[in-house]
Amino acid sequence: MASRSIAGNVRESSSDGLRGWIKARVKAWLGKRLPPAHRVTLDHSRLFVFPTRAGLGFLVILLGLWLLGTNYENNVILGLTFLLLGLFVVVPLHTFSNLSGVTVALRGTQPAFAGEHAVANLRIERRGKQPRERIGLYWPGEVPVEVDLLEKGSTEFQLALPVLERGLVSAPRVCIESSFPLGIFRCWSHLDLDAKFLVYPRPLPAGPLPVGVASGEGKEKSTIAGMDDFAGLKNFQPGHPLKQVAWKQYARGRELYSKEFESYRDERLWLDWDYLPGRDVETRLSLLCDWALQAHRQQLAFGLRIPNKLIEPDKGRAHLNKILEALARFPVRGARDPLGQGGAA
Amino acid sequence: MQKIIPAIVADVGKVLLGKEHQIKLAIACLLARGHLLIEDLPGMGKTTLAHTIAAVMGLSYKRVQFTSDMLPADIVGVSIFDRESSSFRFHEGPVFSQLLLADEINRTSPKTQSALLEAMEEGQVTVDGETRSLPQPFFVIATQNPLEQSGTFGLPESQLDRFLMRISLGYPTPEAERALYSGVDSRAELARLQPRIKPETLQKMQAMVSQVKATESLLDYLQRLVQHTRQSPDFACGLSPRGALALLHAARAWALMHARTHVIPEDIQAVIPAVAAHRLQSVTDGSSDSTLVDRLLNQVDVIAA
Amino acid sequence: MTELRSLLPRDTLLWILVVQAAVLLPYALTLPWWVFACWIGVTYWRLQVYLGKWELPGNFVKFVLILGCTAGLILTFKRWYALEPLVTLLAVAFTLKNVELATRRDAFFIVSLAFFVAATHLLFEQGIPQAVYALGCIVLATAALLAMNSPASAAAPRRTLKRAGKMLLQAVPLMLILFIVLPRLGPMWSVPQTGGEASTGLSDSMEPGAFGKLSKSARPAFRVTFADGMAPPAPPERYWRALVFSHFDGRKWTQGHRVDPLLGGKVYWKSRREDIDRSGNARHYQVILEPTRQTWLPALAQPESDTRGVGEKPENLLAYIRPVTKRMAYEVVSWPGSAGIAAGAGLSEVEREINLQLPSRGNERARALAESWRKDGMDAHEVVQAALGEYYQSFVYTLNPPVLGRDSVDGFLFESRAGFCEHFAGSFVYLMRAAGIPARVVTGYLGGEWIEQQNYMIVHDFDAHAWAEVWLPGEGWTRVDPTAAVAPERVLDGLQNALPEEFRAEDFGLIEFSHIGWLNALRIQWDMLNYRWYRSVVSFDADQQEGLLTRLLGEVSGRRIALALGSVFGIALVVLAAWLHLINRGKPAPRPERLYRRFCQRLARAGLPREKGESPRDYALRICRVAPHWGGMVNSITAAYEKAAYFDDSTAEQQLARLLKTFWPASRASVQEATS
Repeated sequence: MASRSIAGNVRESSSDGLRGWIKARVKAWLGKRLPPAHRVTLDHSRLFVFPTRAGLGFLVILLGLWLLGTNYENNVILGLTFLLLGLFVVVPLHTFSNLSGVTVALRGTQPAFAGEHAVANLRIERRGKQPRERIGLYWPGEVPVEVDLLEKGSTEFQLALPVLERGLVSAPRVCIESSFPLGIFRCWSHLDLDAKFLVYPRPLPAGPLPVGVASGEGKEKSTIAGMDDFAGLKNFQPGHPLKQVAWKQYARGRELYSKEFESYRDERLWLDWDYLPGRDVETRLSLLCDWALQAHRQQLAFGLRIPNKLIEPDKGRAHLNKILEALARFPVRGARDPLGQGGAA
Repeated sequence: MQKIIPAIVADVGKVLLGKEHQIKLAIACLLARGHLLIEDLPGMGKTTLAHTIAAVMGLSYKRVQFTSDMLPADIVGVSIFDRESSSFRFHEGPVFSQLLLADEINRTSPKTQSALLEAMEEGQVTVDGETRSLPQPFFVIATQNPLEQSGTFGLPESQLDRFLMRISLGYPTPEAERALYSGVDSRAELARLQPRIKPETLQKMQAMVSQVKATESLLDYLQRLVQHTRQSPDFACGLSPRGALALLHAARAWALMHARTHVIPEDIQAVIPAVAAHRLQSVTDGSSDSTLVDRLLNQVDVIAA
Repeated sequence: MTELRSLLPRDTLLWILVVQAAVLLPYALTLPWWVFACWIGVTYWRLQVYLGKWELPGNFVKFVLILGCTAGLILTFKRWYALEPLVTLLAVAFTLKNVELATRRDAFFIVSLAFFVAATHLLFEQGIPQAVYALGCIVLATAALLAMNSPASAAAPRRTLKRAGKMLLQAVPLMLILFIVLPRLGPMWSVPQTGGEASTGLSDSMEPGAFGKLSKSARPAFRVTFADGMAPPAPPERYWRALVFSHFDGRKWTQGHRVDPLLGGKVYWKSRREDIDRSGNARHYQVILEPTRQTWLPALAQPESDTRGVGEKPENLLAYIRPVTKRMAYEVVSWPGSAGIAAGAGLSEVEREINLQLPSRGNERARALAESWRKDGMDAHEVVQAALGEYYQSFVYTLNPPVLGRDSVDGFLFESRAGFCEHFAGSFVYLMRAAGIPARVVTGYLGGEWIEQQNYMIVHDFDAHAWAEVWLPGEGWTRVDPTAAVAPERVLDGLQNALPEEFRAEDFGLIEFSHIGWLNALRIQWDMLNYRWYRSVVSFDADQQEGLLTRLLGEVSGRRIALALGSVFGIALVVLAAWLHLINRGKPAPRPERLYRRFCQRLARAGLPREKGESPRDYALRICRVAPHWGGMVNSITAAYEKAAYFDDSTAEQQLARLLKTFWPASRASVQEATS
């Protein structure tokens, strides 16, 4: 299954040509320089340090001080200015060293419904004993999570990303940054942790569960009087067809019994692709998803029939996850035609 | 020592053609006092391997074909009232042998399985409140059919952990198969084999395994591997400390077999597919266990940074 | 920038307020009172918010505050182009920002201002205590920034301060280099000078009692260093001339208005005087003058100076182009032994007239006395001697003379007969002029404390002195110090010893206890420190910079400076980076691993990198396959590594290191060549 990048978050505009081209180049360059891996240790080849806006403000203050010192020919003020300028040179090294040697690892991802937040479990750890402070991690455009590594050498945390489209979705690069210690420099990197989210279809109100199973009470089968299988004997009542009288037993001197037959009908709950004709693939999946959730809430056993996939009815959280995963992994558009509209497996 | 093991491997190899690596793994497993699970299709020579090893090592050998109606007593043994002495006498089950081949272990009920596995773990059995030690050395080779057929009970993960190694023999190489066709009679070959060592020698060798040294550098590598399985999102759950110890011990046995006094990373790399694959679970990614271990080996640096 | 917009961590607020308080503290007495009241009020409010008791003020309160402060500024200051309004404005900005201090951006703004305000205090005074205080403020402000950005630090003030100090310490080498190397451009536009502070030192007029105040001040007036190896002048020769007074109005001596259009008003800026008498021994020295807010510069007799902005006046005086508002240094060459200008040429008519000027009436008894000497037919020498004799016989030298009436000269000469230097000098010149001898009053300093250890002389305010100069035909202007006739020890030993009982001052400090040995030593140490500070830091100007750079670099050229700057900068940064790297890296890998890694790196450079999971043996095998000609070496290195790392063989480690030294694989190209 081809994984998709999250179009809703990283909107690649093809309209503004040059910027798009530059962005693509930067992305390609980053991809080369920082290849995807579940576990990335930050070092000089991955980290970039730039002054922040506050840092530029600091420079303006320095300029003011320098003018003051120069115009008044005041050596002490000039000295202080140079001291702060020295600080401005020294700080980026501290900023860099706050992130250098930090390892970010993907521990796993949690599935989510489209339109909700998918959560990645991350772990961050440091090399050496030097504490690391105020490390911000975020998906582009999202609110950062701030992490410190003070006494403990490692910590785990979650990063949520809104996902819009169903499927196996590749997460964008995680931004990691820190402007420790003075906030005048920012050290950052974009890490491709090769995280993939399983995104279930967005549930759309699908109405009541299909088929005439009103309330299941856990029944898997229901019986109707029929002709197929012998089910037992019953006291004969007038009106029972004579064909069904248990003559054998009667001959042995017993009372008159009537044989009872049953026929089985598969009345287990099936969530079937074919119940929803005439809608597009994603809508069908969304509706199935809603049914599955409803059935799970009502603690019914239910199965799933979609093209190329059949899951036997069952109950429980694990089963629900299996069903949702099948829905999530359903091929994306374009793969639809060969399946046909009614092609249940 | 330096000659015995290659000789043993060669002997077994005469019977089981073209499976040198698996034979060595099996012997390493034996040396490490572990038990072996062979997962393979029928007819690949599982039984032959077990029988040959028993013959070459001079071990008493029993084979149990597991079936669905077997009871724990069929494995462990049973006390029967003896009229002459008017007392119960214990009749030893097949578990009282030095090499037990438990054929198709997944055919029997979990209850019987666990009786065997307990015996493997403890090295003793308790019947009617009386504890009896199993003979030493004690080596179980269990086989399992990988295809899920009806009426089978696959071993759960917790039970798989009791086996030091899991290997599969696989189809023979074309040459070996050709040799089979052309009339190498493995049965006759097997009958001709003489024990190379005595069980006491084997026990001594087993003791020597523990004396193979592992330096800090090597333990670092081992720990990096184990850590990786615990931290990477590829693995649903990492190697347990028991699994890590098993890996180290198997690597020691491997080193000993290659006449080394110290373990080197290659030893770990050689045994890890057999030792770790059945203890690791992939996140539902579809990747099979052996590729998982390959990825593990590729992702962890052998040399400390 | 989400970073800045985010809320300020709670604990940081206290840091910000402390920084504000620290930088505003030195202005406690000089800023308008309402600024402080406002600051305290707002800070109190903000603290209440911090404690969760009050809310942040609403827009109305903010508006009222802004309006009030603006009104206050307008009402307080008439003149805007000055330093005080600037500082006040900054303080007001602080105050108003406090009201809405909520985000990091606000806090950063305040701390940035704090850096600035801390420095402005140095405009008023550049002493060591002020510099240390400003430095402290900067450490504090840096710590506040650190606290804002480091959750671990905010609550641990001592650790935060230590870390901030450490970071600043790392910046010190860079500061030193920049300080020495960066060119001083000089003022780019005229700036408002600090004003308002009472001027100290000599005033530009002299009347009875003028020196009383100075004699009570132990502040250093200036310091002098003599050119290398030169001994200081003997105590009786330490007459530092600063001002000459030629006009007397009956009570007050001033420089006079009637000046010679050719000579009197002229100051020789930049051009060497033609008429100076350069006979005798020259004395080269440097003076570091405390701010006087006047233009005079003290110097020994017959001075000339090459320092920029310093000119020579015809009265053998030096003057600065503008009032001296901050400590300044100037070089002087004096010929104290020479007779002075135009000794042979005689006095011009205009000058003679100026120096014989007397009020038309008053002080009749003094005039009569002088008249009697003239009638006796005494020549100039004899008149001088007669006058000095008069003083010697019946006058008292005291710091606390009785108050004199309208005819101050008469009152002094014939009634009180007790006075301080200005009495003696003034009355003496009066007598001389009355007797027809051109004479003038000179003020300046007499004396100076020689600091042996540092080879410099310190002259205090209380060394201020007034004496006379008379024109003797054939000799020119000659110094006559009538005070010496009364109290010769004043000349020889200084005021302290001349008037031990009266010598008490308001701000004498330690100098009062100069008889206590260790205290005196302490005082001298402190002054030495100050002196060094002024010489090496405060007065470090473009000339000194060039001198130092020439000494350090051999020659001052753009390339050399850039080179020196770059290299020292680079070295400092590399050292720091290395240190940060060291504290950051984890447990270093054991030596065999490091050596083996180097081996792998070399092979990688040659185009054969080791895969991550590749074990040493596999790697060696692969290389042997691809590049057989390295096989032997690679195998032995691998074997040595294996022994060292996995067999605990310590000799193998040496072997590995040795082997590695000889293994330098060439590039990939050669591999392919060799294999093809």
